[in-house]
Amino acid sequence: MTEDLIDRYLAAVARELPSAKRADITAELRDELMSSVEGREEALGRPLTEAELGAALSDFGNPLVVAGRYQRVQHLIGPRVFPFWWAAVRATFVVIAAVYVVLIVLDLIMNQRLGLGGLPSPTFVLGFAFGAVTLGFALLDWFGKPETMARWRPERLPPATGKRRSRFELLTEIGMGTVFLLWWTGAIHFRNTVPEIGLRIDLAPVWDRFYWWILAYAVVEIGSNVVALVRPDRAVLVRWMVIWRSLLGATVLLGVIQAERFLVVTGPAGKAQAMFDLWMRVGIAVTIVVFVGRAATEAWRLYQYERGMRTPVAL
Amino acid sequence: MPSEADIFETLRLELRRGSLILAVLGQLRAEHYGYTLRKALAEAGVEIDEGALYPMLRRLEDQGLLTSEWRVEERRNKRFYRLSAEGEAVLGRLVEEWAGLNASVDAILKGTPQ
Repeated sequence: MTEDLIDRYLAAVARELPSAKRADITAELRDELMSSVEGREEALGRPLTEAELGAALSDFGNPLVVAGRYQRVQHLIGPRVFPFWWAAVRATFVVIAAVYVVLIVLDLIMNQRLGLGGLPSPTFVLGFAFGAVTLGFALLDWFGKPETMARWRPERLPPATGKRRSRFELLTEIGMGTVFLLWWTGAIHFRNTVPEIGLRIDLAPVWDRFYWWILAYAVVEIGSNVVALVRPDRAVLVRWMVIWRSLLGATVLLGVIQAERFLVVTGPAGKAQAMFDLWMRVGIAVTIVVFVGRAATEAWRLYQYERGMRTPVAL
Repeated sequence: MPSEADIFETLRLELRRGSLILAVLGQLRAEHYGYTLRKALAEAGVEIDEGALYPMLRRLEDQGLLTSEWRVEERRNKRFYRLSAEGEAVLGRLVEEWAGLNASVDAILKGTPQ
């Protein structure tokens, strides 16, 4: 009876052990258990009852736990990687949440004409992102060099004072920029039709002429936000990128605004085409002014910095 | 919120974790198999459960600090462990570290806070 229960216990442990070490480890555990049982029996002067043996095995530990202690990896994310994993999870969640909140609000404002049906549910995306980030960091912890993550340079610390865009703001802009880039390149689609009334809205051909320029703008915008996020000390570079992208945006829109039509509206609202185009024209003109103003502001700040009139902290 | 007893238990385990390795290495200057090693440690006042001891012995052997061999004793096959030459050297350094740390902590605990 004693050996039968011990055999069953050791078999349960063995099933969870790596095959290369299974026989060796179970032989050693068998000796420990047998020695322990014999020691107790000698002290009691009688064989152990089934209940006493069961209690001894129970004390020895759950087979899964006992076998688990022999595994090389004892954790999914170790303490060295944990702070970086946690920061990455938070950042990923903020970006996803921000993107979804903006899209849902836009959809509500547009009376559900944005057509978010093609997008996966936020719960699925958050779950998938959590799994993907965790797997990435776990692999880094097991096979990579996690100690290199902790290396840092004090000179790269951001200024202690001065107005800086928050991480939330930067991450949201990166998220929205990425959604725009995916939409612009055709990787994702939003609904542009209202089948119930036969309405369809498409971009006018003028936008095709500036396809690559707008793509470049989107890439530089995401790039400048990524640099601002990961290298907050490179404020001068970020300002140059903002100037460059603002001028690029203004130039593109100056080209676009020359066109007669910006959208092609078909269906019952076709009569409203002129109004749609007027709104677009006003919107584009305002955006050009904003772009030029932003470039000028950044250029003026850089000029002041170069002339020593402004400290890097206030840059 | 963890109770005071839980906090104490967590801190006690943290305090013991490093010193258990030192005790095991020290005890294995003489050859032992798992069961007798555990008994010897318990008699010296260092209780360690089997679930922690055996994986620790494997790890220390993988690190080259212990050597082991299977031998039949008392009609059963047993795995005997002993400190390796490298283990002796590491133990020597750990003991120095232990003594230094012990003296420092003792001085702090017995002295007047600055």
